[in-house]
Amino acid sequence: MQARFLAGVIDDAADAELFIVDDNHVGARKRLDIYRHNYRASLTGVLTDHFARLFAYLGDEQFGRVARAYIAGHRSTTRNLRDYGHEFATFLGQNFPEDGELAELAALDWGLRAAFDAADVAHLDTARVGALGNGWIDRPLSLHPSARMLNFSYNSAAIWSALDARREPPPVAELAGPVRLLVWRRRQQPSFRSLTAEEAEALDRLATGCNFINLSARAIEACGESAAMAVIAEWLGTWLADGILVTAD
Amino acid sequence: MARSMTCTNDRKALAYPGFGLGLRPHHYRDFLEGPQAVEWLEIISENFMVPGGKPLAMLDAIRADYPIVMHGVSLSIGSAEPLDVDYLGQLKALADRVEPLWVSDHLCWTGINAHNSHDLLPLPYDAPTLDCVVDNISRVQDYLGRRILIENPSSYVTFRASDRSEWEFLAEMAERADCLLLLDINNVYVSARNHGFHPHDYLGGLPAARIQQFHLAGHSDMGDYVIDTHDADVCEAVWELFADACGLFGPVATMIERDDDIPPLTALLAELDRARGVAARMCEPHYG
Repeated sequence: MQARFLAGVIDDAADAELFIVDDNHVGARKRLDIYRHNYRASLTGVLTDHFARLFAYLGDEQFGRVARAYIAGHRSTTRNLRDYGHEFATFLGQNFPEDGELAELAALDWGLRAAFDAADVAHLDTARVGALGNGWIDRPLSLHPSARMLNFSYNSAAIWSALDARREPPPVAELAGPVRLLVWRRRQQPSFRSLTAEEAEALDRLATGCNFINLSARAIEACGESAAMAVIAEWLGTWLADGILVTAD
Repeated sequence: MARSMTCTNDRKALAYPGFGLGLRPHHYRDFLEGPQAVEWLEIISENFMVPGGKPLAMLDAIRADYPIVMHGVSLSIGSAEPLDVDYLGQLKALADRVEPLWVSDHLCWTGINAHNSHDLLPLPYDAPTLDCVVDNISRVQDYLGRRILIENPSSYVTFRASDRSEWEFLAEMAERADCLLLLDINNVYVSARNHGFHPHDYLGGLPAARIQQFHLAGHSDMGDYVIDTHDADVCEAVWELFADACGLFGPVATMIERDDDIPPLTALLAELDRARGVAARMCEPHYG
């Protein structure tokens, strides 16, 4: 019975009405419609909440149309509503390839939301590095669980920032080349910034357990010892201040 | 509300903590900046069943100053499927962290075959469903190591298979599972309007000794039916029904449940003060 009732709610299957008492006051169909409406409204509501800047960009009507299409093709398979919408950015990329900023805005909204309540793991800062002593440079490193990198081809980050500040967003523009964005949580606050190709490559290495010695060796190989030491010192200062690194062992 | 009701006092419930509010992010700052006139706070369990970050940091900080009760929406206690062990594990971990006064969820199911409605779906009130719910409650209570509270839902349909009233179902369920009840006064009103029963029949049919908590909330009146929306002030009819419940059941932990169009905390505290006044007036005979 429950499977058929749920099909009545999610897919509008009419035979669910056979399970319930009909009446002249409201009627079985209208009564079941309350649950049908609740289902769509709760999933639309959570998409609106999770993708707040995309919602601001598209407006109520357009976002509603897109959300309804996504909901129709993506039943919730998660117990906790907070996890619903993880394929929304991919869905937008597949269905609106001519409007690439939509998928990017959704990916940024989702990344920031995921960073908001990602696991609490003690990150490396100058004090912890000092406490670890010289041995820290041999330790395999990783990125904080809140950190992820996104690939952008449009000025979606600028659009997102304008929407966040309640300013008129700039016109969509394709970037000269792909840019990578780092999304993470800094002092309980989700944040993002763009990366140079070199810093993104360094963070890719760290994400897979690279230690500081090997990271430095790779940088020296790429740009010479003097330049490598300067740039790594700058990166390290930023990473430690921003809470991006954790020890992986 | 002229029908007479009687009450028994062989209480099985836990200690009476007074008056509370649902803790919502809009009011975190108010609770962190200074003491507020509430004796306890209720959290939506799922909002804190997260890996980390600000939600848990806020919860830990506020928990240091207020007793907490945990109220879930995803236990799916009436599901025809086995209980979700992963969900239960997360619920227990949160309970271990929060050390709540109690843990509650709803008499409902939320999904099946790996698909979730994220709604409190209705159950037929018949013997097989009762067996299923009682069995599930017992398993949850064994797993959590504590008695839980089950809340009466708002409902919009009556199943053809139902052979008893909701209050009869709740009474037998509570007795057989040895659980407690969270009585949502607004839900009684909403379901009474939607199904045409008298709310006094409902209240009078419940086991008073097992009622641990009251919810008060607002709803949307659609004319032919009423929808439980938690986005408005408690209406006069629900206040009247609350007074009747206080007179019948005596002092019961009471809170305002607001989930949408959330007003400033001062407005909810004013509603809670009204609840205190009603309870003080109606519960006086119980103190005599």
